[in-house]
Amino acid sequence: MSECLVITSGKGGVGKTTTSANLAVALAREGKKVAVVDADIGLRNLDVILGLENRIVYDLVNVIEGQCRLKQALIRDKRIEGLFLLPAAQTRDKNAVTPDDMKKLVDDLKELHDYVIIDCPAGIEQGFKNSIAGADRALIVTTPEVSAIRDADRIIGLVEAHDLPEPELILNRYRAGMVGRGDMLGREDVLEILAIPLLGIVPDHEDIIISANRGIPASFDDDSVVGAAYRRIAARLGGAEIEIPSFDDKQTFWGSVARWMGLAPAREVM
Amino acid sequence: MAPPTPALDAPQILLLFRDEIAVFQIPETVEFEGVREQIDRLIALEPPDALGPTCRLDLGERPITLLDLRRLVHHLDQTHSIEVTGLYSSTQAIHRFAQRELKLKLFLDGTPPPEDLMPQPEPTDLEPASATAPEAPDVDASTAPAPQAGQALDLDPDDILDAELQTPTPSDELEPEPEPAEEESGVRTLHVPRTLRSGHAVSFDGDVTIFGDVNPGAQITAAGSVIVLGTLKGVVHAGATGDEQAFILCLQLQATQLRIGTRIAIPPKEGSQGPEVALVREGRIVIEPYRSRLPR
Repeated sequence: MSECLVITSGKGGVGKTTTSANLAVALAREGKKVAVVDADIGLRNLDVILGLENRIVYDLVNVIEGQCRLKQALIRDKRIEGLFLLPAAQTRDKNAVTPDDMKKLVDDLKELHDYVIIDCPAGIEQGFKNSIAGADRALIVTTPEVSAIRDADRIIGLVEAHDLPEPELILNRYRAGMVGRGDMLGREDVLEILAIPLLGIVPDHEDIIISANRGIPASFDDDSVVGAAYRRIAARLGGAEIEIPSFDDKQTFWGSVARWMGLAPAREVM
Repeated sequence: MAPPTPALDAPQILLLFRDEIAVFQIPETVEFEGVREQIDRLIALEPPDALGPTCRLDLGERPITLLDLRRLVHHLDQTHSIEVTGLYSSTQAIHRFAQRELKLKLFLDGTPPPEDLMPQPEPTDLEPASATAPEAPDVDASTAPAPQAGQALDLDPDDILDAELQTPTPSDELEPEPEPAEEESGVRTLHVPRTLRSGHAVSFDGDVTIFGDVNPGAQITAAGSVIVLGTLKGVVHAGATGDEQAFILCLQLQATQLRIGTRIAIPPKEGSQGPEVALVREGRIVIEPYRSRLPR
C-alpha cells in the first residue's frame, strides 16, 4: 500500500525542500521505492539539493501536458536503489498545473512507488492547493520561531479542511542550547501552540548547508547528526517507535563542566 | 507493385515493391517494439539478394519519434546491410530530420516534396506555435514558430552521456576547410542583448546569439546554433528540430546540460579557460576549444 506525503510549512525557508530530499533518501535507504516530486514550479530547488540538476530533460509540466511519458521524466538517483525525482519546470509557473492534474499524477506515481513525497512550495495559493490535492498524509515543517509557527498553524487549518488525517510535525533547525538558555521556543512550547503529533526534531547543524551545496543530502552520511535525525523520522513514518532525543548539550564536555561549575543555564525559563 | 508477401501474425508489416525498390509498409497498429523483429522475419523469408541494397519505409499515418526512426534505419543498415533511402510518412514533424540527418528522400502521395520542406508542428506530438514560450520574460522570441523547450524532439533521458573534451589533432588544424557556404533562405538569428537568468526561456526557429551570460535554470531552445558571448551555465538545446550540424559556442562553458539534435550530454565539471564549441562528432557531443573558426 503506497502512500503520498506532502511536506509543507506555509512559510518559506524553514526546510521543506531539505526535509523532502532527506526523507526521500532515508526511505530509499530502508529499501523503499520512493518518488520525490518538486511541486515548486518556477522556483525549483529540489533537483539542486539532490544533485540531479544536470540530468533533467523533462519535467512535471511536460508530463501533465502529455509531452513525455511519466517514466521519461523520472530521474533515477544512481547513488541509491529506488529513489526517483520528478523535477519541476523552471520556465513555467504554478498555474500550469491544476489540483486534478496533480491528483492523477500522484495516482500514477503511487502505482510505481511505495512512497510519493511532494515538496510543496511556500504560500497558501495555487502551488499549495496542487501539492495537497493527491496527498494521503501531511507533514508540517516548522522552525522554533514565532513567525514560522504562526504560518504552520494556518497551514494545519487548511490541511484539516481538506479531509486529510491529522498532520504531523517536524521541528527543524532546533538548537537545544538556545532552548536551554530560554532564547528559543522549546518543543513543548511549539506543541502547545500547534497541538499536533510530533514526528521528529531535526537539530540545527552546519552539515545541512554543506550537504545542500554539494547536492548530497545528509541522510546519505552515516556520521551526520542531521542525517540520523532524518533517518529516525523516516523509520517513524513506517510506524517504528523511536524516541525523539533531546539534542541536549548535557552530553558535551563543556556542558558538563559548565553544569559542574554551577554555570549551567537555568532550564526552566521557558 | 508486387502483391504483398504471405501473412504473418496480424497486425503486420508488409513488404512491397515500388519502382522496383523494396518498401516496408508499417501500419499504425504495429508497436514499435515489434517492428524490427517483424522486419527481420520478413527479410528471412525472402530469397537472398531479392531486396537489393536499398529500401524505403512507408509509415503512412503512423506517428514515429525521431529516435525510433533513427533506430530503425540503423537496424536495417547494421543487421541487413540495407540502406534506407526513402520515406513515406505524413508525420511532418520528422520530415526535416529525415531529410537532413538520415538523408532520406521523402514521398508524399508518391511524389517527392519540395527540397526545403519545413517541419510543421504536429498537433499530436508538439505544442501549437501559439503556445510557445509566453513566459519568456522580456525576450521577444515569439515572432516565429519556435521549438519548445525539451519537447521539440523526442529526447531519450537514458541517452545522457558525458561530453568528451577533445583537442583537435594537428592535421585538423592544417586541413584547409572549404566550408560550403550554405546560402539558406529564411535562416535568421535572434539577438538577445542581456543575461538570461533562472526561469528565462528563449525559443527560436533559427540561430540564437546571447550577449550576456546564461545562468543555471535558464534555457535556450534553437532550431539552429547557439552562441553565448558570456558564460554558459544553463541548458542549451541547439538543432532542436533535428539539425545535428548545429553547434553551441560560448566564451566560458560551465553548462548544466548540452543538447544538440537528439543528443544530450553533461559537460565535465572543470571547464577549461577560453571559448569552446560543442558539436556532434560520430554521434557524440564533443567539446573543443574555439580557435577562430569552426572545427569541422
